[in-house]
Amino acid sequence: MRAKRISIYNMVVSVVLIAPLIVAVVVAFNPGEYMLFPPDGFSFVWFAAVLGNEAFMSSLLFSVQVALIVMVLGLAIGVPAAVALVRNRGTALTMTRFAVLGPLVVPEILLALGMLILFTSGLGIGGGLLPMVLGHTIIALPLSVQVLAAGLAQIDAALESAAWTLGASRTRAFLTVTLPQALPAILGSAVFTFIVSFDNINISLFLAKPGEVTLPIQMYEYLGFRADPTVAAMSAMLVGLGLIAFIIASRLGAVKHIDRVGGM
Amino acid sequence: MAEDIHLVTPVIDEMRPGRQRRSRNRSAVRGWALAAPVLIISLALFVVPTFEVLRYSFLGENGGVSLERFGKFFGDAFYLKILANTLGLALVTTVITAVLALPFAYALATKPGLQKFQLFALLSPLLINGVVRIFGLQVLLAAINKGLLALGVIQSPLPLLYSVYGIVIGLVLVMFPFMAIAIFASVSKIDDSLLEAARTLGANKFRVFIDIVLPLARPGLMVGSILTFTGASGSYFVPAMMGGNTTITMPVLVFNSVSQMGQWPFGAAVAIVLVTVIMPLLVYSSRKAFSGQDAES
Repeated sequence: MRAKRISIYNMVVSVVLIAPLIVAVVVAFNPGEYMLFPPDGFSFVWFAAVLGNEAFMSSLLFSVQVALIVMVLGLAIGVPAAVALVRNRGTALTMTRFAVLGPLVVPEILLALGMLILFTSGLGIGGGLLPMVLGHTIIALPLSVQVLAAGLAQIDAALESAAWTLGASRTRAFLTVTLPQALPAILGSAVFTFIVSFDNINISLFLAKPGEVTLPIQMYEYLGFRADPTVAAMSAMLVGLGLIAFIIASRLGAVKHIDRVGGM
Repeated sequence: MAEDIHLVTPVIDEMRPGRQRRSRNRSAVRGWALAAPVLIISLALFVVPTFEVLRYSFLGENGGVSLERFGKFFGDAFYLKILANTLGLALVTTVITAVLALPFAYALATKPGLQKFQLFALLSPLLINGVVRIFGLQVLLAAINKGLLALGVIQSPLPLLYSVYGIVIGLVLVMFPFMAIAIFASVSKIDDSLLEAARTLGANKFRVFIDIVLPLARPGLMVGSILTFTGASGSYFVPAMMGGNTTITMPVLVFNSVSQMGQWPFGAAVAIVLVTVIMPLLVYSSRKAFSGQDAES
């Protein structure tokens, strides 16, 4: 076997890309009040501090809550949309494409302001759980539907038509033949939808209200007036979760879509 | 991904035994029914909010339709500077990111040693929220400054943090994966025999790169540059965290107008100005997306 050539430049760039994450994790083990890198000791004080911090824990809970609802809503809307994208023709296909991909084209900041206006002056509720869920759903759908559509497109349509030729109803053929094959794509899309919601900054920034703040915004606001390693400890835990998500995503063969997740 | 859809649709069409009108109508109805949820939610949460921002931007101080907000923006050098800053930062970021990502993507395709590690380094940061990544970068840059000072390389700290340089460093870090993957999609399709032929005919590495790799990488460079430019000009948290009030950009101005000054119509006008300026790029990228072509290919 011929040894594969290694590019030194690429190794350097790769290390630079993950360095900020490593630094954020390492700093969390500082025993003192300051964010020293390299740390001047080793302790879990700040992990204990963040676990005991009411604001961080309640926004973590809120973020998970929002992301789980967005995940379910995303699949409920995304699966039929993906089937429509793969099977529709003509006007229906054009409209579906526009509905799915449109939100990707407009800057998030504009959508965020638009939704704030809509939810405040239109519906009188301002920010909070429901607006946050709806806002994250519209941002996550383009990615989630594309992952689903890519998965569905790989499935041999002949199998489903064989099933209904042999007497299964359309619905039954879809549910028992196509859907099980699409399961990896569905799981991949669910994981991504969760991450898009959990990591979102722009929409959450506009639609947060006191007591209903997502974790990234809580961290951002905390950094604005305090500089102790609490945020680092929270970051370290999130990096751990991110690693787990990466492993799940690569197992599901969804790694090739990850580049669409990252918020800007 | 969207390309695959095109490959499959005709197959399904042929499979459809329902040549009769009744069956065709039924499948059309089914198609609309499947699309209905996404059409409704997209209308309510994408089309309506976009028009709401547009409507707000034309609200006059005393009601009615007016151009006051735009007059305020374009009549004040302070705001025009913010627009220029935003576009300048996005442009510089795009150029730097392209120059750094092109050799990276090319080597990722041609020297696959430790490719898994490279993909991990490229993609895993995208699963962690940007606040964490920029926070890590802040600590890292501060440590670099401290290290250089201790070594006596520099006499005073470099302006890496809370400066316009800091914003560029942050934006390049955040946008690099998007650019690299877009270019990789193009360069990984380059036929090895082309490079082989060029070398056999006497071209050196540099000539091969300029004459063969670069032209073939162009589609990826275009897509990556549009993603990077629009991403950089629309980013709120990078300028907010790395700039430290030294350099305000359009998204920061939008948020501050809305949250701190309560000037929603002015914030809306700023957002509309930003979108209008980057519209040609948005139209180009959406044409690619809507034509059913994967944005990355």
